[in-house]
Amino acid sequence: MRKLSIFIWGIFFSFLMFGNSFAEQPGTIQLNHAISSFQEYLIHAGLENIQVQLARHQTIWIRYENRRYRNEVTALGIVFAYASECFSFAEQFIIVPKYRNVPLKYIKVDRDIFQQFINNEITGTDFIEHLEICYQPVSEKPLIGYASPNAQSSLLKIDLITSPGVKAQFARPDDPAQLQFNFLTDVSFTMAPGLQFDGQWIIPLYNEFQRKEDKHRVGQLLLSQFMRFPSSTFFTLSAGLFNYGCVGISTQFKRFFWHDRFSLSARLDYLKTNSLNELLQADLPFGNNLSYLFQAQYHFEQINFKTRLTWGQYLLGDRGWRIDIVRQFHELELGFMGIWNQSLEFLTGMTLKVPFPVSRHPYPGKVRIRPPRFIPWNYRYLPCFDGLILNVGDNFEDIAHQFSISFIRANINQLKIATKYVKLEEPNRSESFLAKRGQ
Amino acid sequence: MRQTIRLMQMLLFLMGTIIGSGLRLPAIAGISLAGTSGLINIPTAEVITDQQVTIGMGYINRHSAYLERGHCDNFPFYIVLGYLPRLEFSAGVTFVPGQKSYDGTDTYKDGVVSLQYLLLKETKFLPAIAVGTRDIYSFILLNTTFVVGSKTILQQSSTKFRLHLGYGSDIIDRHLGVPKKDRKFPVGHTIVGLFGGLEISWKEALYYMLEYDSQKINSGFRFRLHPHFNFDLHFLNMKNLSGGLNFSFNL
Repeated sequence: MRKLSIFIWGIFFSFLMFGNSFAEQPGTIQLNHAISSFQEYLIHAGLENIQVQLARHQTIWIRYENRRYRNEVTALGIVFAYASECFSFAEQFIIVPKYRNVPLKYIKVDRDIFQQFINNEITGTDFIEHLEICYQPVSEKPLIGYASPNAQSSLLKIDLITSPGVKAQFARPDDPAQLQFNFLTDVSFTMAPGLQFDGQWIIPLYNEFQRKEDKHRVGQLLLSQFMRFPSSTFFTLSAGLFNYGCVGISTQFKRFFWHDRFSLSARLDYLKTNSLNELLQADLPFGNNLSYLFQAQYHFEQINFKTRLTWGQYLLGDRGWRIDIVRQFHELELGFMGIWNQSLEFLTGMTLKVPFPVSRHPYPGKVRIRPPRFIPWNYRYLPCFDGLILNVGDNFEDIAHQFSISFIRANINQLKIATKYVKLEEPNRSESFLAKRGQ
Repeated sequence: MRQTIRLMQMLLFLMGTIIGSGLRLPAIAGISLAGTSGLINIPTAEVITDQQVTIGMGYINRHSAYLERGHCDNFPFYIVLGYLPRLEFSAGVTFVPGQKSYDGTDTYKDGVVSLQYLLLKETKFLPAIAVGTRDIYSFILLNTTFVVGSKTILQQSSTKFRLHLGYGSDIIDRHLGVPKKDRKFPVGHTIVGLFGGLEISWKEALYYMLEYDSQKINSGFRFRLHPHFNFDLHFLNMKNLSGGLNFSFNL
């Protein structure tokens, strides 16, 4: 009798304490089924590191990493579409795209709003106005009870990236047009959350630049650790062989402010750069193995335009100011730079990043061969190497930028096109599908 | 000469077909021979729209050319980009066949980078105002830094009269973006002093242009054969036949 009364009181207090949340939640079996179906669909779409959690007020947290679609908006559209189909009881989604299995950004959207957008009841502009995107995690804590395990891990999955390497220099007084074509093979894989290995082998095809660049050589051999801290702060530590033949360590702190529009970063590189001198075959002012840079960046959301102001000691030991402006047109990026220092006074250059015309890469597997996402090209007046900044491989900001309001606005069609990729199938096949993929 | 007349006949026939079909083409900025928004040589207070790209080429008769005048024809090739709202960025190369180049070939090449910014849009009473500078980077041979105003003075059904007036300066007197040792070469300027022009458009498809570019008077026609395609025919110094064509698209 006593046990029965304790049981009844227990139920009564449980309803008092958790009544609101439990009353609105679907059953555990139903939820688990929805989660496993959802994970299966995302795996089928080629996404990785998928994790789903149920929070209060019918909020679903979805974490995933995209290494298949060139445009992150396409992957985001797929996640939205499947989530809205599988979690029909949900009111709100918090989507957390990852970079090297580390949460990158937080995107909050109402399920109804997405449905209205898909059904053409609201415009893309209206939909974007309802999106909340930030680096800082939203305060709502997910319920621990309904967390799914991390499905389709990206760890130790090797990417062989083959790409054309084009280098061109125009208007040099002694040689008006210099060209170089290389075949680049990059090896890249994530070893642990945030830790990535990047290696590059350069096969020269045609070269009008320095003789040393005629040889087959290692372009890059790097281990880099990416970390995130509270308050929209990120840290990257890279070590190994960088471009220009530099060996050493590079560290960078970056913090975002004002709705992620403004950022400040500090960078410290300790490098042995003698090989750089040999490569460039020039008398460059060495002696400084330490490079330090301070950078402020502002992103004009309305027009997808970034300005960056950098001060410090650059790769070759030159000190001065550098200003970069970058405008993004859909996926194409066009930027200009200006460098001021005592020896040079003023130097300008141009940067271009063109999307490689393959929008969907093969499924990530143990080893896959894929093309690059973008082909970068820099132009500067030579032989001036002032204001050089070390390339530390792929940058989390490039990925994060694709989740900015301005980028999503410019690629809003991709969000809708992505829903066409989504072909929901019968849930019966889910078990065999997951089993085949070793889940 | 006979070929030119035939070409003009063909263009007029095309224009007649387009205008006869009742198609009214949208107003977009025309591109001058310098590869920036303008009439023939002079700039106007217009810029191409944001994210628009215009690719084109021109032919400048040797007797009115800025590079190797009297000796060689000039062939400018350019790309113009609406880089930011109201800001136009232009880059190009002028080929001068017949002139020995620094690379040992018989065609001299001169790179040009220009910027033009629309300060004020035209209102009912006030003109549009733009500022800009042509050929500002690397070896500067065709530079002018200008302010220009443009105003529609009369608009009657399909016909529009626009007036352009500006001042060009030689304020940039040294090469920018090159090492100190390369700065000894003299800087060249094109439009220095007052300049102006009149533009009469019909159905936004056919334009007649008359201008004074601070050195000479030029006239010409602009044919909008297609919303994305322009063909220009100019008489530089009122006698030297020149021209250009360009194609526009949005990024």
